[in-house]
Amino acid sequence: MTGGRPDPEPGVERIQTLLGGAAAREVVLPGPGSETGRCLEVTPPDLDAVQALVRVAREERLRLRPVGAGAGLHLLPPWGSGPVPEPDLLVSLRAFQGVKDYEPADLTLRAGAGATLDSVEQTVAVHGQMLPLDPPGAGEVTIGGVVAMGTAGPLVTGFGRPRDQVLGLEMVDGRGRHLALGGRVVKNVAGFDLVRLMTGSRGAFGLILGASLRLFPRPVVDRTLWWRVDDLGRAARMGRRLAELPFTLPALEVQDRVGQEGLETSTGGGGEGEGAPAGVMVRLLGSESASRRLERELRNAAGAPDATLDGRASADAALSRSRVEATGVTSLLVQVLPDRSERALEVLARALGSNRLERSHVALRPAAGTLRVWGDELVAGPEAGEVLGALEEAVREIGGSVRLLAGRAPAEGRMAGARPSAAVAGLHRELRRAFDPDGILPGAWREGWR
Amino acid sequence: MDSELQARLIEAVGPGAVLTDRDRLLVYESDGLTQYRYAPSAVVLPGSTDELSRVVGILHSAGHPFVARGAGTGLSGGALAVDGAIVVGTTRLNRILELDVPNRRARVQPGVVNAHLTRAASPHGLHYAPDPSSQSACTLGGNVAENSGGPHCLKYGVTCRYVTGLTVVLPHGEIVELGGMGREDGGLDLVGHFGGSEGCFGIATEIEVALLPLPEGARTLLALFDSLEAAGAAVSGIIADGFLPAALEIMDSETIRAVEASVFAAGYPEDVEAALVVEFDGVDDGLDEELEAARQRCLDGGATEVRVAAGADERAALWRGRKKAFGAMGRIAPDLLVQDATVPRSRLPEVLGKIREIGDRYGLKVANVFHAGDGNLHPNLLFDRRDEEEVSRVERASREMMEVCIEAGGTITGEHGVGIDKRKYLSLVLSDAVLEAMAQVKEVWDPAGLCNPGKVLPDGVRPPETAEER
Repeated sequence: MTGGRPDPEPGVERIQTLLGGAAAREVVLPGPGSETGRCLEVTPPDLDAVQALVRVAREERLRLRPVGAGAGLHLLPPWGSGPVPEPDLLVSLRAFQGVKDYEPADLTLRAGAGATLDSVEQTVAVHGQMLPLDPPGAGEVTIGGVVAMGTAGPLVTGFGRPRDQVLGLEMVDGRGRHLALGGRVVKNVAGFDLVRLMTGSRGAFGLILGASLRLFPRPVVDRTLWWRVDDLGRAARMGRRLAELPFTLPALEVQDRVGQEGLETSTGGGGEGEGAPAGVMVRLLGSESASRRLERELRNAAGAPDATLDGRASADAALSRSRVEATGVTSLLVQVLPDRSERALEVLARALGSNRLERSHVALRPAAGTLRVWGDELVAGPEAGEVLGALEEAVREIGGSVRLLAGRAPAEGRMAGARPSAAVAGLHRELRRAFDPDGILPGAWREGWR
Repeated sequence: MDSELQARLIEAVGPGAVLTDRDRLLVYESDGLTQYRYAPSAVVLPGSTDELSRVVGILHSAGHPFVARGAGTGLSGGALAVDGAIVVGTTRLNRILELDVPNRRARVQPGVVNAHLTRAASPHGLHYAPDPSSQSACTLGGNVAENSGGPHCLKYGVTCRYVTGLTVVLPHGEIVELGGMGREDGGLDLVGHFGGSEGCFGIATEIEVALLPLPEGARTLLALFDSLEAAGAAVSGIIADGFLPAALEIMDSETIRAVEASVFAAGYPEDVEAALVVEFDGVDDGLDEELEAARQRCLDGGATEVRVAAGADERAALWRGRKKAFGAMGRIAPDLLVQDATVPRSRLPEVLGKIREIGDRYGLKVANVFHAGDGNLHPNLLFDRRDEEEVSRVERASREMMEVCIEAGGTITGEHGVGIDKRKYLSLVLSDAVLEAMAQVKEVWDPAGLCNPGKVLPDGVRPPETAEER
């Protein structure tokens, strides 16, 4: 993998000298997908330092990996097989903090890449506003991480994907160019859309320093309705029934036991059905009248909920579910058309077998057809590769896709992964080359996938 | 066009689908922005993705430039056939291929008219949210190319939010599938990147979009003000109060007079300086309260009168005036330059004042009708293109207006695109490095530079050229 690459040590030393020792520390590489080892992490203090660092990396052919909260880029690249390219240097963007250009009447702000969702949320909450981004990992995820990964959470149903909330971003690309893309207004079609290209690009094009984001008025009501269900399949059916109601629900989730722990904690547990193996949650965000009406419709369709959480408790329970989704050594993402959600769950149960499934955790978004599965032993054991191969084939048969987000290398070797056509692969390759001709930001890419 | 190329195109699509007659080509020499005219050397109208792919392949191998065109309602000259380009029209690709009600999605050909999709979906309780003012004529292929907005984008977002998958004919003729609901390959968001590329990256031949449940109810009011700035301030006030209306639209006195003098008259009083349309939609419960809060905000902000639409007919009448405003302006001047820029919402009152001052200074009639909730301004500059001196004043005033918007933290186009008209302004808002990066992505998608040449990027902007830089 490193054949033909120069020894990274001198380059790493040059960067250390450039930034001064105080800005560097040795850390353990995060993530189960990596060949765990130690790596130097540097924290450039400003734009000039980032550009200087990239210049040295180009000259020395170093591989950089940007890090925020450490929740994202160690995850497995989407295509092909083989391990994640190991970085020579981690670049923390935590020096890029804070919220700028926040004018509440505009419902927009600019935040540094190192700012956490929590910190932004606190800033805007004071003005009765919200940032509807809830990727796995909850409030600890950084703005840079959200942009780089582009991962949506349950609020995608009501508010759209992260790419729809990112109005602009600031980055230093693999050529060392400082690029201020997009803007801070909600409608902007000045030139080709590079903001959407970068959002979800997994750090492949550059180091993201900050982003302009769209905000929403914080609704008067934040209410979670929760139904305990005695079987995951039944919960999925109920979830689909609610997804088909003629309203856009802000968030609708089906979770197994672990996803409900936050709810049990918030409600103090107890009552009939405590510890139920599955549950359906609907989060209502809106005016009091509208929320009451939706609640009535939901009760008509699904019966009285087992619990209702309001305000802070509703938000906290959502954060708790989001946090738990970011745990586990291995995780899978299954995507199907929404009306095939129940079938996807059946396929998953068949392929993994009940033992494996019981040791893992499942979250389903029935309005989006997104199924996340995670756990420490999801694909453990010598037959793991075969299990994943079978799952992939079965999901493909129902028209969907499956992707290993994090996992042990032996297991992933058996998955074919999504295979882009040669033309699409060519577009990816050339776009990447345009911004990173020396391959110093392998981020999303595996060696030799093309 | 040489006869051999013509023969090959006819072979690909049939003789009736290749237009070369000068009179028929005249229809294609302009789009919604009428001050530019470029006659294409031919128009080809493929009837399927395969035919379109063959046509593009033939043009690519012949080295002949081409430009896609839908209904020709674009307002930045994006579909004009510069340099003798051949127009590839999507008129015949006008079928809704699939209406998938359980998954709330549709797959359409690019020539489907925007409003026709909602018309087809509404019996199933669904609609397609982005609603450009030209929705009764504009096509979805054009909407994707321009990432079009519309009055209701304040709440619902613009076209790209709803595009989930594309079948694209690349500029050398190859067909590729990008994205698609129910599939997630984890790769780059090429669907989002293609959106708004103004026909410069290829031609979308199938478009998959997400549909939404029809809102159960809607409430609309019209607030009248004796200053444009006061109407702008009311818009900021409504948002600051924590409401997200479906639409917040402003028309100034010039626009109101034009509308009222036209067949689209909506009963707006002609002696006011600004009219603000506010609409809420969604679950019926609570809409009355929201409307009342907005009504109060308008009155507190100096509205001289607030009219609440009593029913669907009155709502439709209020909207008719707004949606037909551009058409109505044909009565007051022979020509119209629709400007398009976005500013942060809180800067609206100040920017509106400056735009009026620029218009006055240049002795131009300026009519404003715009998406105030998004801060998306549309100053309409009225003129007569036969008067060269006036045309020159329009040019200079436009540039100053763009500069004012940029100075306020805004941008040079919110929804009409750069096309041919705004290339000259792009460097006001984007750095050289960003322009260079845009030239690079254009080259990646269209290495031969045949796909809608002369659009978006200013002259002289190029990717880095030296071998070691590549």
